[in-house]
Amino acid sequence: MSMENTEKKDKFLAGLMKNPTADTVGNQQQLREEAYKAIHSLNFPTLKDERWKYTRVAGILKKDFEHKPGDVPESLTGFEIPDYKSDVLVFVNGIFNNELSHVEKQNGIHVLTLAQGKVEHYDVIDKWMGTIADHHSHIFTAMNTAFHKSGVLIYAEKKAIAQHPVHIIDITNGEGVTHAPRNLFVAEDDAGLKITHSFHGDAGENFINGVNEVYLGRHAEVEYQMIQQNGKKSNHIHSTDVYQSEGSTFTSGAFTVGGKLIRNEINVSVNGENCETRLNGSFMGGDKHHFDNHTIIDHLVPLCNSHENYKGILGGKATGVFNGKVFVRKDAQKINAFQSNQNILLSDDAVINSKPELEIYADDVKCSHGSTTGQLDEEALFYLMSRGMKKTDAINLLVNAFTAETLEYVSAEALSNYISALIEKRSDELNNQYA
Amino acid sequence: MIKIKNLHAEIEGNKILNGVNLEINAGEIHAIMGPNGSGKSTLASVLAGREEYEVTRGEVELMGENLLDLEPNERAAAGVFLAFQYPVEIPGVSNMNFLKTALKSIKEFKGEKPYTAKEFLQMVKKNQELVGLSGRLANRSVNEGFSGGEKKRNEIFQMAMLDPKFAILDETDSGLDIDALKTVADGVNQLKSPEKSFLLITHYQRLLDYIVPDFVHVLHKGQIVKTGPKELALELEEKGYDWLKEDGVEA
Ligand SMILES: Nc1ncnc2c1ncn2[C@@H]1O[C@H](COP(=O)(O)OP(=O)(O)OP(=O)(O)O)[C@@H](O)[C@H]1O
Ligand SMILES: [Mg+2]
Repeated sequence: MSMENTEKKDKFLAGLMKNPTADTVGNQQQLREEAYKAIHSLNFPTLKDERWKYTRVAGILKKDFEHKPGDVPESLTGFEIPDYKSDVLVFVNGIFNNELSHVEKQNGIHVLTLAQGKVEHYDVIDKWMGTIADHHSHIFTAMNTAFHKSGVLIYAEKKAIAQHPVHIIDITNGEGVTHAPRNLFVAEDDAGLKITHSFHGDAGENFINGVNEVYLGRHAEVEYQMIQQNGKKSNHIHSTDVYQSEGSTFTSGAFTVGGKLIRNEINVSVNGENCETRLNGSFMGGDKHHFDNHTIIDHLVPLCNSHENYKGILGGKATGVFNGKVFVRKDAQKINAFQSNQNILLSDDAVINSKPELEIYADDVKCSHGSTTGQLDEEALFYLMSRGMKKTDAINLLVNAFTAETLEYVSAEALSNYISALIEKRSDELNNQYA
Repeated sequence: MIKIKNLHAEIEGNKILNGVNLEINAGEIHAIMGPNGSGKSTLASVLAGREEYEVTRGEVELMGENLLDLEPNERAAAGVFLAFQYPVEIPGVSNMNFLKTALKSIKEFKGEKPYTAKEFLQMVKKNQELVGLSGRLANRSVNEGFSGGEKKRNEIFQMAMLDPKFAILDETDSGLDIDALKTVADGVNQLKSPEKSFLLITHYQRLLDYIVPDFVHVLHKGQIVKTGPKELALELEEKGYDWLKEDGVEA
């Protein structure tokens, strides 16, 4: 790395390192130090890195970001999901807010902040944290591992099935704020968890660098739905790293209706037979938004199904990226892998880079992948309008119909309705960028 | 009801309509026939407000109002309805849902009270029976997986729901078996009233046995080259269009 780049990196890191957090129990401090070392041997990605070919992070690195507290809302109005009964954990600029949060005690289910978890369940944390997410070769994961302050630990003991979901509300307020939420979700054998994670923010420029680690024991089921309603100047990089044991089902959704630069990574290592993996998402950008979804499903063993469906709707001068990689390793026979990315460009200046990829080293597999990009169906639009529908209503209806498939695996109706409404609202905003 | 004066329209630089003149009074039924590609569907689309077609000359008045200034949905609210030659399939959009929104918008546009859920359902039931469309279809996505005949019935069902003043039926009879044809014709005949006008686009005299037109027009190369009573349709069926083309009626 050149001298100049090193200086830039050090300056950027210095902001993130103010008021550091240290851990005292278990191996956690060691993990931080390991990650800290890794940061120094790693470079920030540039467009020359295959994995970052379409997403430029240089804009983030030029700015000064610091951990600092934000305005705490008076109530959860506007953050809560109507009719959705759940535990609620609220963070403002990465700092836990006890007053707005509530958790109902359940047998075998432990829902607490990571900071608390590091004390009360340090054995669980020591066992899993840093073993699923890769802080050795991914600089943003390394930064999160070294500098995170809190996040959530959800731990389901063997056979414990949560009776209601957990809703993590991550609010980011103010100018030049950074935080690094670190979450660990562990579902032991035959356990079940449902987690909804929503991001909200004001118009300030911020940088969120999140990492989720998800462990699924044998026959465990985890559903993780992420809803990004970030503010319009929000930079958000988030990696969700998943390990699946035999017979487990992992379902995730990524619904992006806000933010300026978003990079969602999901890396799933499927290491047991008879697993189901479902990754879905819709991203809706306008202006100069840049929304990037990078997924890897790694089929290491036979007899598994994976299903992936992402839809993009882009107006203005927005850019979308979809890169979905499915590996089927040697001897991982009888894999069924479906992958699809469809996009609608509402304007001539919107761009999508879509790259579904299959790498198959086994011979008895059923894999399909496809990507399409087109305009809004003019014929359908005219048909609906000729029946009296207003143009905006007609566009919203078509957009909702287009994205509906990605909501297929959202199990709670209240949540699904909430996401549909957000999609419709976003569609309304994008309507004026339709040309 | 509707006055079309010297209407010229083109698409991507191709001149399709070359001076159409047509006046339809309230209560009248007119039929347009003409060879493939003569511009019948283009005329229908221009009247319904399809943006892709550029009107280069002429004017259209609907009950004294300048129709060409209105958006397609505003035209629907003003009472224009087009039964498409090729009804569009819209996966994921429920027939009922979209009709409900459409009716609500139309009512809103007119400054009228929207239908209650009960009224709406009653209308749906009545009109489904009218056109012989099974309730099963009504709840599916718009036209998705419908047979050709079912699509056409669905167009008439929508027409009955929206209760237009001026309806254009673009080859609604094509692809219908004889029973379906009768049902569709019954539907139109029941909606017929002294305040309403219809424009039927068809290739077949057969439809006109069931829906009797006041006038029959022949469209050729984007112009109406002949107008006559309902018997003209029979003559066309016998002789085809060549004799009209040979007449050199072009302007
Ligand atoms: N989008 C378009 N681009 C170019 N030409 C077009 C377009 N749409 C229609 N046309 C042309 O305009 C002419 C008239 O088409 P139109 O569909 O109005 O004919 P029609 O009289 O309805 O024929 P048919 O009896 O076959 O339904 C045809 O030559 C057609 O190819
Ligand atoms: Mg036609």
